[in-house]
Parts: sequence; C-alpha cells; structure tokens
Amino acid sequence: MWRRLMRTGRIIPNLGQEANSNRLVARFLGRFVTAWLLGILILSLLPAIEAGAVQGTVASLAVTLRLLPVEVRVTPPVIHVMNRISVEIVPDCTPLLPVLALWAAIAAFPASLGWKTVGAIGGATVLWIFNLVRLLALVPLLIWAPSLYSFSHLFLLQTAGLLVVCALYVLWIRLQNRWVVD
Amino acid sequence: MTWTGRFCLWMLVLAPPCWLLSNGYQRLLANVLETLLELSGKRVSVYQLQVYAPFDVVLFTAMCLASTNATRSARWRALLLGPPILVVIELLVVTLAALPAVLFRGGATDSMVPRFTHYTIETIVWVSAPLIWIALLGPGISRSATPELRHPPFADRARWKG
Repeated sequence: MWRRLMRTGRIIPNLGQEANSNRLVARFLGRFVTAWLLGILILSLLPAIEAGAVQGTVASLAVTLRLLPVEVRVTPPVIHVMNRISVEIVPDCTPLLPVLALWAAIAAFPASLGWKTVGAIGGATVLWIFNLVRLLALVPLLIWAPSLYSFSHLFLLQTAGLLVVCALYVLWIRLQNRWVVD
Repeated sequence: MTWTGRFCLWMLVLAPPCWLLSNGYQRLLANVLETLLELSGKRVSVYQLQVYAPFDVVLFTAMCLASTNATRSARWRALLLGPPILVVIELLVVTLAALPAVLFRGGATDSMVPRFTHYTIETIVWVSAPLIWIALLGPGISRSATPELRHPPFADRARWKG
C-alpha cells in the first residue's frame, strides 16, 4: 500500500537532504549538457549565425576603435589598425560560445519563460560588450607586447570570459530570487 | 575574501606553470588520440592540437581550492576525482571532434564538419571544468550556501517546473 501511495504521488518519499541535492544537481547538469549539445549542433548546421556574429564583431570593433579615436581600415573580416597590425576576426573572436554557455545554463534552470528571456537578452548584451573590451585589450598587446599575446588571448582572457559568464549567471539567479521575494 | 578573489589568486599561481606545460601536454593528448583512432582501424596523424588543455584542469583546481564553503573532505574528493574525469572528457571530446573528419575522409565533406569539430572542441573550454565542479561540489555547496543561492538547482526546496 505504501508503495502504491508513493507511486501515485500521495506520499513523497523523504530522500534526505543529500540525496535530494544530488538529484537536483544531476537534473540541472543533464539539462545543461542537452542544451549545449543542441546549441553546437544548431551552430554547425546554420553557418549564417557564425557569419553574422563575425560581421557584427568586425563592425562593432571598427566603430569602437574609430570612436577612441584610432585609425582603422576594414576589409572584412580583417581590421587594419594604425597601419601597424591586422586583426582577423574568426568565430573564436565572437561571443557566440560564451553566450551559448550562458543560455544553456539559463535554459537548464527552473525559472519563468519571461525571466529566462530577460536573462538571455541581457546576458548576451553584456557578453557582447565584454568581448569588445577583450578585443580592444588585445590590440595594444599585439602592437607593443606580441610575446604576451598568445598567453593573454588563449588563457587569461578566456578565463576572464568564463568568469564573466559565471558572474552573470549567479547575478541572474540572485536578481530572480529578489524579484520573486519582492 | 570572496570566491572570485580566491579563484583569481589560485589562477595566478597555477596558470604560468600550466602555460609552460601546455604544448607538451597537448602533444601527449594528440598521441593518445592517434592511438585511439588507430585501434578503430583508422590511421590518423594529428599535427597540432590546440584545445585549451590542461587549462581546464587548472581552472577546475582553482575553482575547488576557492570553494572554502565546501567541507575539506568534499574538496579533497573533488581534487582527486576531478582531474582524471577532465582528462577523460578531453579525450572523449577530441575523439568525437575528430570522428566526422576520419569517417568521411576522401568523401565530399560538408562545411558543417569542420564547424562541428571546432564547436565540439570548445566544450573543453567553456563547459567541462564548471560542469565537473558543479557535479562534485554543487550539492555540498548548496547545503551551506547563502540564502540567495539556496535556490534550484542548488536548493532542496526546488520545484522543477522548467
């Protein structure tokens, strides 16, 4: 009888705090991995997304450099800066993957669709701006300290990007909690 | 000091030696990949592998060391279990990424294949370390987290409506 009641949901088995936490984390991870795999499959099947992100990054970087003001010549996807260096924008230079990681984490989290949309759009905007700052930081490095470029590009700024994604995610959860409580 | 501060400090300590080891480690990973693919009857030479490794392991280690609100035993367990799991993930990901190119060798390869390979490899950069950190330390941290973070999926009062 007890088993039948549990099966029908009238009695919720007390799995204990630890088991419950483990179950919830496992569910989050499962959803996150599914969303990530789906995302990379979509990105692979639709090259227009990648092309659009590269074009957008080239355009916004050129505009920002001109505002600074720095002499820039653009022959997409290459940006020539001060007639000294040429920066080719490749898919890795776009914020596509950090945005995908954030979106997958947001999708995996139980929240209302509206709040998820707010997080997705706001997060993508912040990550786009962060990516521009990252690229702008790399330009002087390329000019004056090219030996540090590789280390900064591959490791320091990539790690910073990951930290920004994590920080945005935690902020999104905290704001949601505050919003729900209010 | 906040979690981020501790994490950055550990990264500052661990990143330079990792940078020095990176080329050798990735060469080793390429050799293992070649051997794995050879076992399946496909002979492949990997000239260069640039997959952010072993920076994912360092990232994970720094995340664990910074997580002082987890119990010491949980952190030790994570530090012992996490790196081997990450190495296995690295191998799985590079094998998965290499498979389309190996399987469709000689045939008309769609432009989707290199993109799929590229994005699959990026999993090591963006997903593996945080994921294993959450898997190994997430439940422990959630029980001792601040009230703001005691929320699904890190809380016990979660209601999964998605």
